[in-house]
Amino acid sequence: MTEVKKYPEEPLKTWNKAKELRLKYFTSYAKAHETGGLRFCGSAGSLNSIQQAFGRDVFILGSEPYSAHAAFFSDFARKCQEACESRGIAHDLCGYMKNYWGGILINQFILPTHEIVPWPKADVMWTQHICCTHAKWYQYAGELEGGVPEFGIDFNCRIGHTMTDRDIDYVLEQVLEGIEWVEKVTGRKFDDELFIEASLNELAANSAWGQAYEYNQNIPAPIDEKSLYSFFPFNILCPQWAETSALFRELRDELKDRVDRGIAAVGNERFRILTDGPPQWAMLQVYRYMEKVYGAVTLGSTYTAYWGTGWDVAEDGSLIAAKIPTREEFAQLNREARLRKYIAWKLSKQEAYSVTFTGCHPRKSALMLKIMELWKLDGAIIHLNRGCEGSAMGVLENRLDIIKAGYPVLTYEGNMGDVRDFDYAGTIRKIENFFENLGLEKLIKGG
Amino acid sequence: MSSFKNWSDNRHDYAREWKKKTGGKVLGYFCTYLPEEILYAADVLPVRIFGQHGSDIGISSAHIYDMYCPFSRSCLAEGLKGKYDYLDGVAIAQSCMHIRQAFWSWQKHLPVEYSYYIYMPHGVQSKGRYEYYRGELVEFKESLEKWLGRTISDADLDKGIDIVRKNKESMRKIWEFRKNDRPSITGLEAMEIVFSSQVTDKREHNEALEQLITELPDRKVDRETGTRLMIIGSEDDDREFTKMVEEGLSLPATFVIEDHCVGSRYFWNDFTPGEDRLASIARWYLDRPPCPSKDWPKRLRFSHIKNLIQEYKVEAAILMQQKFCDPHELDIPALKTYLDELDIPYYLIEFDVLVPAGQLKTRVEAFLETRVELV
Repeated sequence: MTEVKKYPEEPLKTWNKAKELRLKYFTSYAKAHETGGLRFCGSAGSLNSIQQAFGRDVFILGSEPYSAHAAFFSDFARKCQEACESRGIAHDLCGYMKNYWGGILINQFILPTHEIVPWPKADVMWTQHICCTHAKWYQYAGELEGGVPEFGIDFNCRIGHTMTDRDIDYVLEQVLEGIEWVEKVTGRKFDDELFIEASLNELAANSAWGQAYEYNQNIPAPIDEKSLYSFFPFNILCPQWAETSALFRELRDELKDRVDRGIAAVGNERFRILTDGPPQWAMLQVYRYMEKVYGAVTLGSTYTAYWGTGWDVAEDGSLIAAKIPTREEFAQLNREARLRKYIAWKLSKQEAYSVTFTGCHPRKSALMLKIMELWKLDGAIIHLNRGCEGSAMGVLENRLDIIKAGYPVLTYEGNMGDVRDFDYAGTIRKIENFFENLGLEKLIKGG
Repeated sequence: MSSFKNWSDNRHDYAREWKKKTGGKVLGYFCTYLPEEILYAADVLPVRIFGQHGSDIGISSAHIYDMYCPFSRSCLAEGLKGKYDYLDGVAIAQSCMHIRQAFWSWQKHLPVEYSYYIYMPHGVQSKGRYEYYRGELVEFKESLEKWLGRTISDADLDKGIDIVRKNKESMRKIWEFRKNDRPSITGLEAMEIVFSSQVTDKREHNEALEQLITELPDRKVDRETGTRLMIIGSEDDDREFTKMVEEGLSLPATFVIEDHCVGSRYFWNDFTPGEDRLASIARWYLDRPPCPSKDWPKRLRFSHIKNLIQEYKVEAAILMQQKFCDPHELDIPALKTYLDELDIPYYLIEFDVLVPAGQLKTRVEAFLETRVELV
């Protein structure tokens, strides 16, 4: 058995730019106070442009991606998890939240360079509430940090393509109240011009991500899921930055070029896999194992496809990266109408909340199957995520629906934020059994 | 008092009999945020879907991940076993994710004539919540009208409101008797009263409550009160545990109050009538003492707990944690600090559908012996 390269491979040119942006993002949050800036913290994707409108020197920490990043450093994450548990915080709570709370408790914040700096206390907690945890997360975090004011926006209405005017009004009312609240607690004014600039960047980034993502419908896929993970968080961390939309446009153009030239993410691609939800961050080598040993490439998920990305649904059900409003369309509106348009775009075109939290499996299964069809996938691997009740919601029903549609499905158990809940050897064994049952032999000996 | 126990013991028989007797429809609901008033207005019997303690829930494992709470898995398991085959409809007012999952799986695998999901806000302190929930109730009412083929008038709504309001007001009157130095009802009896309220026709339940209210002033309780305990917790219909603490310990104890949805949280706040009936109903549910999942950004629940502790002269608390119940787990660290500040001893117990009564007996006794100043 030998490794067979069917397609040419090349490293991604935009890769280093993603690394640089990641470092800038986390460092600028940590150092915000050095230049008189403000730290806003909350769930990633909590309508970032609205927060940015309070100043260019507002730095927003999306704390799930921070905690995912922390999880990648498994020894550091372990310290955070254990600090929580020694305080009486339940083991089975959100793995991300515990990396965040734990960071406060041990007064440590980790940068992408592995440098550890003192915990950067937030000035304002501004968060969406989508699962049972989010607003509660910052409620307690604020208490742990000695009293950081919190504003929560309830997203538990119809989100996604079923969103109605009444749902948009509900979110809008909260946002308008939130703007007044931030003005009061920070003494800063909401800057409409800055909001227009930030929101146009944000929607452009979200849309460009969708355009880039569509290229993975090609065989061979120009980018694999593990590499997508290096770019995708910017969709919800800092989509309002001009650098993000520029990076995503560059990535999109690079993927187009790779498709045109037949460049593959994985040269021996022969089995295309859908995944689901956040992965076991500290154990991403599982993906490389599948690629190397079986030519099995993970290249799409409801996670990277729907979080932060806007999609329009064509008449035939196809997903097309959503069109964005022009500057003129935004500028001619008054503040309330503009915010309404922004909220409608962000929440009705993004299915992440509906597939993961409010809508559960009926909608999610349909979207998973749509990705499987359009992205020409052969099977699915579903993470039974002990560290996230939201992404675990409905997953077993999704499994049944995908099997019913004729695709093979493998599940594995883990915890996105806590490697202690993951059995590496057992998962590899399950993967081997999965492919054995599908008649997919190993490409390399002893993999 | 025996009626409440009988109804609690035989809830499925009761609902089947009710259908036979009235020819009406029965709707199963998954969380107490569901507006029962509108169902009574529509002459539909709402019954809360519960799990079954001591019963195998493995049948739900293909549908709900095992890290979801045993209550939600047990509810679905009972459905899959056919225990709720008399239901004509199911509905949920958006609550925690775990019970939502039970609803979605139920809807998929146990089809009934009618199924409805109400987007009950989680932001019960958020601006716009009243209008939003009122809008949801308008749509819920319209969908019921479509299902039943009849109009639900204001007079019907007044009828539904009266039935539910009377039920809740009566239970509050009865709870006053638990403040006595020798409480006139036990924690077990209180639990059976609320449990049966959620699974019977409230008109019949109201008659039993009225009768009890007349009896309580003269009721002699032939037992020692002992330590005055409070249950603070997740959904709790665990009668076996409650009975064990009140009747099976060598150290006497009585549950004098609780903060959970098979207890006082179900009926605590006053209903304020208004011309717009649905707006009044929406306000009533949104202003309830909140479930932890909805208690943000301000903590409204803790001050409510403090009031209950003071009013009912609580000496110690059992923190009743359904295993994997995230909203309650999220509150536990701060709640412990809060109870410490109030100087209320507490003991955290993680519950499952299977109750290891022997172990829990030892643990609760040890708690009372070591933490509570026994007189």
